[in-house]
Amino acid sequence: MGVRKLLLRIVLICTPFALVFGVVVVVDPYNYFNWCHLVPDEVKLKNLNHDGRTMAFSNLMWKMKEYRRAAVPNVLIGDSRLSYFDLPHLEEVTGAEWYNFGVPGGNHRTAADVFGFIDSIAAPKRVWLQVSFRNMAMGQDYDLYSEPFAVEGTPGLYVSNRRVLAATALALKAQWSPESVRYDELAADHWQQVIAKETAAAANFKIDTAFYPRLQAIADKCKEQGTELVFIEWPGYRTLQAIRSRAGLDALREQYHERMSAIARYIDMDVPDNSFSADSSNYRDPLHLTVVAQRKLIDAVMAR
Amino acid sequence: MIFNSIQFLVFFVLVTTLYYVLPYRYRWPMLLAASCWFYMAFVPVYILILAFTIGVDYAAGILIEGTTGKTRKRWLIGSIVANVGVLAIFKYYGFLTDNWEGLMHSFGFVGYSVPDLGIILPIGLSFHTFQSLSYTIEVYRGNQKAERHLGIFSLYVMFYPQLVAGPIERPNNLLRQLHLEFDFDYKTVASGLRLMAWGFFKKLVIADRVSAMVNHVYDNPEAHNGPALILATFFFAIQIYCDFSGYSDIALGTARVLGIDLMRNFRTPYSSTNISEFWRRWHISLSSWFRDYVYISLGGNRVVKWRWYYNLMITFLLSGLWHGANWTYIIWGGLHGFYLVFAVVTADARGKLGAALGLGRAPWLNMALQTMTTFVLVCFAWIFFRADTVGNAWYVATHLFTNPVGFFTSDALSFWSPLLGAAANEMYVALLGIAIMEVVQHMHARRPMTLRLEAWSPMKRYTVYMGIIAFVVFLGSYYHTAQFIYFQF
Repeated sequence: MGVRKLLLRIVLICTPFALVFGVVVVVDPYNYFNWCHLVPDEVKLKNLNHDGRTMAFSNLMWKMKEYRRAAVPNVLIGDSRLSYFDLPHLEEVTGAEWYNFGVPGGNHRTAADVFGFIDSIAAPKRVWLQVSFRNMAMGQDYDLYSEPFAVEGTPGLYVSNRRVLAATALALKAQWSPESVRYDELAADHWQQVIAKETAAAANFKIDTAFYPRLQAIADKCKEQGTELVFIEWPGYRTLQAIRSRAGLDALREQYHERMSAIARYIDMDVPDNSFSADSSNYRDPLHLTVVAQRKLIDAVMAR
Repeated sequence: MIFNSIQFLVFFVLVTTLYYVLPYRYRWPMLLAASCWFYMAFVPVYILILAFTIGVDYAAGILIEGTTGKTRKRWLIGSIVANVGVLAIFKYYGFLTDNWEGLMHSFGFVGYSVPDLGIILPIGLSFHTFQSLSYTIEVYRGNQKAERHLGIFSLYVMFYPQLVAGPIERPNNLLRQLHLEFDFDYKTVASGLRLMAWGFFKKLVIADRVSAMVNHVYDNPEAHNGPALILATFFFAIQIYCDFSGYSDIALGTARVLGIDLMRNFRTPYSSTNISEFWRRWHISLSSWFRDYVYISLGGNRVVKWRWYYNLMITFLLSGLWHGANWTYIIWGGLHGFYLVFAVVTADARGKLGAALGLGRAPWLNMALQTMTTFVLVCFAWIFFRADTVGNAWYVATHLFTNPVGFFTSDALSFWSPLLGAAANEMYVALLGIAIMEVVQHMHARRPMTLRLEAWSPMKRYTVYMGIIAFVVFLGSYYHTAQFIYFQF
């Protein structure tokens, strides 16, 4: 009698949870199971960049799963500056298949983690790793990777993860009531906000040298397995370069340049007094390039 | 196999089902086999160490009981030497040789080195060694009859719910119960499941969430200043309590589902008003072990004063060493010993000061001050427990008050979270979890939660159950720390 009562109550308690898990499986916002497409992929893809809070997890989650399903030999790794990257153009000019592992909000730690993930699936042929002096700052070693990585490998975590639940709700909302979903839009003074933020960051900048061994480890691994590794520094708008100079960081930047060059092939495009950085039409904001500008860089650097 | 894993969930359901399905006579072999399986999920070959401990202490118990005088004592010493020997080899060898090498190098023998045995510390070694030792000591003292049933004795040492991190049971509690026959009882099983759910809440919602914040600071303390160091130390105090008491709740709950009552390991230790009380509420099974078998054996407080202080210091230094083969643990134990000696030495002066300040007229204020002081002292000692090296601990201890700007702002939470490398919502969930835990503990202290829950309407009761499970399932932290802190001891 007692056993039956206990089992009934356990079933009673578990039922709502089972229902929630079922909804996640059916909606599947990151194509984890990839067998039910009740919500189309275009909606899911748009939702990856729904807002600044969820972008990092969503992009990593989607990309890790997608990459595991179909790994390609050439990868780009970096942060939000690889968003809006014209991958088809790169593939056209290089004649090779590429995967864009740009993670909004990503840092060098994320890059190292993502490289480890890619390498655990198959040794890549070419890795273009977008590095950045500003990402060498103390405090830029926050972890974006552990959670999506754990979820990616465990279906039980996927159906119960609260970010996945939120993405499920968003996917349903975007599918059935798209007008009610608000996506982050750039504020009117976004350009100025970035300048202010970067000025504050430069004033408090202290370099975290712990990133060097991490990048060195990537370089060693690539060398060992014959992977071509290139560090690429995207050009920031000239105001950012001036901010860096005013904060007295030029000497440190120069040392950084030397260290990076010693680790791997390093293409530093963030040099002062160049015409590209002086042209504001190349930028969505002082940090991020437009698609057209990125195409120019692809033609100038990556197509060679 | 760790408690917070799917494997354990499956294991638990299978073992519990088998336990109640099988006739009584087959239960102990099944539980023993399950315990072996549970332990062998870590490093299978280390089951041989357990077999050695069980063999030695099983034989020692019978031999001690059958003899008197010096021979009896010799068998006890033999048992102690064998058990401590295992600990010395597997837990302290590396520490001893490292320090010996360091000493030799300082005397100029630069190339001197002792071979590294490459030993991985067997999980929970200190726990089952102490549990087994308590058996031979109790038999020696005449408080316990020697166990003749090797299977039951093996199960006493290996009982899976408390095998790897306690509570360190005594034979008069656990061994006795292993001989009893228990029928399925809804109330007992439900109470065990509730306790398990509460343990998972503490471990997964709070401990594992704040562990990432603590690690962020303690992995590289020199990159942080006062506010971050204080917050990380405070959160470590919360983490270690929720981690270990959460583990203990799961262990107690798991055993209770099988009809076995294990000893309680925690009684809201951070509510203690002095360090002595803290140790009566924190890791009770270990502190009472040291009290009964070390402190009292040394003479306790029934000796001249200097000897009393010595006994306190020795007991706590050993307690520190029990936790780990590192100077940080020894200093942590020494600090607690010092606190206790200091409390004894200054008892009169503190009493007079309290009277002069009129604290006697405001007992609540007095108690609040004492509780806060005790908590701060305990937190300070945790610095040494948590830091990886003495150098790091020293850095933290000496930089707690550097750059305190912004610590208590109106927007403190958004100031705190980046200091600990966490998103603000992680901090909110952690603080919400801590608040829920505090409320439940406060309610439990006034009236046991089991009685309260039974008095509530089914709707209210099930809302609470589902709320706790929802917290564990949806807000549990499953991707930072999986291991329980005390597994390493």
